[in-house]
Amino acid sequence: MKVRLIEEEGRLGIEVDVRSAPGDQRAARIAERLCALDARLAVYEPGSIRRLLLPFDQVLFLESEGDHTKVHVRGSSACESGLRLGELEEALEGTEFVRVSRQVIVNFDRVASIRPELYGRLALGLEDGSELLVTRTYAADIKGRLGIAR
Amino acid sequence: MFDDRADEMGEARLGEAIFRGVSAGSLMACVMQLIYLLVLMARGGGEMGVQVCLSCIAAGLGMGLLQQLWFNYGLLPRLGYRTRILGFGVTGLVVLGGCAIFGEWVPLAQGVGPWLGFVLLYLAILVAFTVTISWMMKRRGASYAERLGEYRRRRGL
Repeated sequence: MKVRLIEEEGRLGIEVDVRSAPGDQRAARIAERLCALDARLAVYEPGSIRRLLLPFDQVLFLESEGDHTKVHVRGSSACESGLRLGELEEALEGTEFVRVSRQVIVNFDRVASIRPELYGRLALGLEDGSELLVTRTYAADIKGRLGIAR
Repeated sequence: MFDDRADEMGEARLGEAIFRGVSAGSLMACVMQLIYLLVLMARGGGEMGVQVCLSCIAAGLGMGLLQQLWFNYGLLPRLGYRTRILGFGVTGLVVLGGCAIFGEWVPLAQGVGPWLGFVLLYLAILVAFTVTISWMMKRRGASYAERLGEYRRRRGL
């Protein structure tokens, strides 16, 4: 992999091109990580090859669907990411996205309410009215974000 | 490589839920039999017959399995808390009623009165547990809501 940093006089902002052979998953992950630095997620509309860069604040949660991930969006139908949930989790490390179960990663900034459930679980109410269950394994992370003793 | 952590048994498959139900139910059965024996001793002795033993075991195991059925989110994920309480309450009464008949906990010959007492006692215990657990959850919930509010203010949301 060749990485070049080119400083150009008078240039405003940062432009990054990631070039690779078609279908290179490593390149896709690199691009995803770079998008995450700019608080955006690369997604596709269902049945389309058109790529969109979605700001984080539009994303409610991510749901695993085998080899790819369903991206649930505010006020709109879901989009898709070509990456697996685990790969997205890696790319979104250190952001407001937090894993709540094996199948779901939630945008914690879109959580409107939270209540404890039995057996150490938590129920998260999102801004669009939907509800997600946090399993006991991942409840500790949520408590950490809120500053609650585990 | 990403670290895909495995879920704990709380979201268990059916087999694991049954295992948990049997474990909890066995403990309940022991406690029930112990209580029965202590009551017998307090009344001046007597024998704990086979039917009573079996009915205590059946009741303990039954209630343990019902607890898993209604409160294990892996089996019935979409039910609300109130529906779970109602479901557990009704099915629990059926199981305990059947055990009470088999084990002759409540004398059949003495009419409706003792059975009414049995049902009322069951409901009282169920209500006491429900109120206590709900109060604890509400207290914890208030704390979570406060912390979430602080988090959202910090994030400028």
